[in-house]
Amino acid sequence: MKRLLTADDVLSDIEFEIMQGALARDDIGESIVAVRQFQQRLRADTFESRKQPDWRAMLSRQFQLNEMLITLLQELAAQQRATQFQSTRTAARPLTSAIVADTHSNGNHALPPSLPFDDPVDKPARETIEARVQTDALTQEMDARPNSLPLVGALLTRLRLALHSLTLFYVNRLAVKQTSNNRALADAVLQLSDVVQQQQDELASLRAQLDARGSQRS
Amino acid sequence: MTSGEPTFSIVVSTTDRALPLRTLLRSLEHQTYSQFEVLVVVGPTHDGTLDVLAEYASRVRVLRCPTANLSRSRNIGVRDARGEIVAFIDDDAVPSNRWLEQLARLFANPRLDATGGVVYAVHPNDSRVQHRLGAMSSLAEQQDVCESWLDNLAPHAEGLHRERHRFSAVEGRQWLTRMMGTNMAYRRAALLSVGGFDEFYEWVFDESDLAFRQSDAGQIVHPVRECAVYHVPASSRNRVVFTQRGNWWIQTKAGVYFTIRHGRRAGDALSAIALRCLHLVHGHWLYYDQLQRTKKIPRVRAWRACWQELRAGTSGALHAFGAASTLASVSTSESSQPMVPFQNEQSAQQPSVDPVSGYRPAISLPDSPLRICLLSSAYPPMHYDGVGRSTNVLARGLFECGHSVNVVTRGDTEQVAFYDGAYVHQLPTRLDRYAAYHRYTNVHYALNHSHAAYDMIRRLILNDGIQIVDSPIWQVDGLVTAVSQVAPVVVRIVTAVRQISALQNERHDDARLMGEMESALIQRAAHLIHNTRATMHATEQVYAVQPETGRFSIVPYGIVPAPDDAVRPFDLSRQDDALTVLFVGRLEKRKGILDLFEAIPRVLRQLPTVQFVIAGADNSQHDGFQARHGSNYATYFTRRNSALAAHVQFLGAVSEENLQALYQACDLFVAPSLYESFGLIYLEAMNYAKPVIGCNAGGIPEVVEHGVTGLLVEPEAPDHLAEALVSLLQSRKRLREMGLAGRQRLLDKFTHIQMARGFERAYRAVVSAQAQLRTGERHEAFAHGG
Repeated sequence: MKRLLTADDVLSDIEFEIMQGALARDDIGESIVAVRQFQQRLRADTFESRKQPDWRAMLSRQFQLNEMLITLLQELAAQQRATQFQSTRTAARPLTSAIVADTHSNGNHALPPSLPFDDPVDKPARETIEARVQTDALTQEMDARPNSLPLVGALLTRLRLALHSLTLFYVNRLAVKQTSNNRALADAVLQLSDVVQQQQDELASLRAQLDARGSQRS
Repeated sequence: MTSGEPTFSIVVSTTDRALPLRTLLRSLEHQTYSQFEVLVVVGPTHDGTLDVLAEYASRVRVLRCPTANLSRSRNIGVRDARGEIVAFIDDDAVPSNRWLEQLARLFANPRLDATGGVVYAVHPNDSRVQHRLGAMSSLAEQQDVCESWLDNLAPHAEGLHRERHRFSAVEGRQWLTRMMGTNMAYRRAALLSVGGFDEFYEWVFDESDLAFRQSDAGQIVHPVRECAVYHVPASSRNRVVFTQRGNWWIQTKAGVYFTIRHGRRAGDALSAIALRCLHLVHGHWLYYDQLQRTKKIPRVRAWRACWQELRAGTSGALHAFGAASTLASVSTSESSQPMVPFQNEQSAQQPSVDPVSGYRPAISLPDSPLRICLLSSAYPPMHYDGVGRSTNVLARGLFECGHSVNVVTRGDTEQVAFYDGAYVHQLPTRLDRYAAYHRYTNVHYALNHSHAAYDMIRRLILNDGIQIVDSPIWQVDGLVTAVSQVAPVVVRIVTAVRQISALQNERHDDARLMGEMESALIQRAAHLIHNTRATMHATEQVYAVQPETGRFSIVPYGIVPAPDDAVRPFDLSRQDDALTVLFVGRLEKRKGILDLFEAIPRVLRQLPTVQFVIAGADNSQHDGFQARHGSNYATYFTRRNSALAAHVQFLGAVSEENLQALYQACDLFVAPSLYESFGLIYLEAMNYAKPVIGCNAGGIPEVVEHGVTGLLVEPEAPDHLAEALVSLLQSRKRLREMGLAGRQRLLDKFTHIQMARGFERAYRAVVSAQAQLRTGERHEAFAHGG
């Protein structure tokens, strides 16, 4: 029997939506969404369209995608440095002024915008990234339907195979180059992640020191 | 000034805009970040600009620019600035309260050299998002409003370049993010290191040129979506605002100069550069031609303008190809003199200012003004309903009491406009969340709007430091905000959906779930404000809410009193018998329209010359009347009383202006609602000194004093209603006396100022309780840590 929706359902859905929204809360989050959408469009245009791909257009779109990823990385690095700078500054501030400033801040916005994820790249995510940048991840295989027309069917099938193998030759050559690009980008992301982890540890130790100083004063 | 935080110099370039400049200076009193000075660079001036500046003699540094050249004026400001960061704002704009605080937060990143935020045009005649994450190409193509800062990597090309430059990355054309001149900030040292603003640009393209040069120098220019500035475009010597008149060729000169310099530098094809330059000139030619064809400008002026365009384009091209640099030779030395702080001890207590008219209530506040966000799905002038009107009155009252007010409502497009004392943020309806509820039409709609309002509130907290959110229970606008706890939510209790469902026999799931959501909002509210005692008792019964001390208040609503010369008490010298009775309200059972239908024939039997005017939208489709009777209310009445049709006029929904005229023109007002939490309509009639007849139900007896300002009858008693109507219509003296008594009662108890004062008390109590709570939590956490 169908259950009636109640206020409890509404409240739990609101909390879920708020959490979802938090993932795309700042420019980085929104940009990740934008890159993802762009990539989906690109994939659909390239592999799902029946038309022969325009190599120039494909290359251009791929360059755009690379540009987007590079900008994203730059921004991640800038924000991460800002976080580092802010944490150093907070630690250097006298304890009393920090407390007074925090008491007077109204919206809990004293810190720079947080990264779209709370933890650095975790182990399963790291493995996923590694898997995605393997050389054969983008390689496409032959997938040509045989033609069943009498007499000319066999000829058409051979022609189609020839055309597909020509297309695949270029696609796979491009895939190899793209994979090396992806490899470089993934390395950068993972390195950044390590740095973030390192800084979170540093931040935790600074907080511990701050608490210790606070307790000594009190 | 304390050390550690960056210091700001706000540079304002102005020429003959004394009034907007005064508004800007007044608004700067409310910046939450105090470490800034203000430099006003005055061009050739003939109005009262210097008199305005004399009022701020000890707080503002005044510099002079001999010519009306924006870049030159900005360079003069930069040269004399003593802050580490130079922020620019136009004299016809006002910043959000936390503008500098947000900029300081961004400049905490040592790699950032320049930034700027969103610009909203807030004039009621021109309200739109004017600039957000803008981008500019090396061929002077603009994209002013982007959704994300990645948009600029693949913008759609415009005009002549649509096909040729479809793939910008391949063709090499360069796009860069840029700020708008009215909202941008630079590290002074970085700005000076690239030579400041190019003084060839008298107007426009100056900030884009700077962005390109900074990028070439390896500096980081990073505009953001927030850090809002509200712009009220004012006329200048280059253009007359809201008209087509302007010296547009100055833009052409700058555009051609920009295209050639940056197009060549970015490696764009010469043919593309030449085409773009022609496009800039030709585009304006087409514009003048259109103006002339539509008779907006005379032919001679159009020809003269076209000639000016050609001259300007040629001038821009010649300068661009000339090697001489027009960059200013600005000194990079740091000033050793201390900054002159703009804010003083009185700044925090200054009332808020209207950015459009510059009006500021002439009151002195004992405390800092509150920063309030009011929610209302419907809001004038887009939509008029009871909640929207009371929210509008509250906003006006709060502004008159000196507070800063934002209203979040529904609209067709995303925009912010300032009117009636509040920044009104319109959110377009997007049903892209809570898909599980799509079968519950009202719930689905309400949840999506509530979530959109929550998103907006987060931005308002960031930009304006909103301290409190006020939501009506109607449509549960504040539910998502209350669940999220980003800000304390005060809930205004009005008629509950559960009450309406009971009165109108509605038993569908949508209404049930809305009722439950109302209950959830009440439970999560930081404070409840009832407009009458009756509402409070009803809330206790309907939602089983026990009034907790300190968590609720009773604040009667109010309205803005009409000026004395607009008031029309009954004229005893009148000789005619054609008295008019007015009904205002949605045509539905709850508003007592069926009781009035029963009463009208009885009244007309005794007083055949009386006219009834019925104003309000028909709601027969939604309240089930049409399904039961096969017609709407007006047809139903006319069919049953065809002989009386000439005495009853159905107007349907009427405009606000017509409504006020109807109140003014009637002799007696009647609204036999079965239930009203308050009944603003009675006050609106009393405002014009009209006697009123209502029912002894809900909060109506707290508004209408029986026998003094009107008469009260029992609900669903058409006989008594007819008697009351006849008794008042037969006594002209009572019509006058009761009307005047009603007007006096309104002035004594129900003005918008009295309403706002009551709400202010409740808001301050909540804000203070929240502050104590935060302090308590901090101490507790500290104690545990120790």
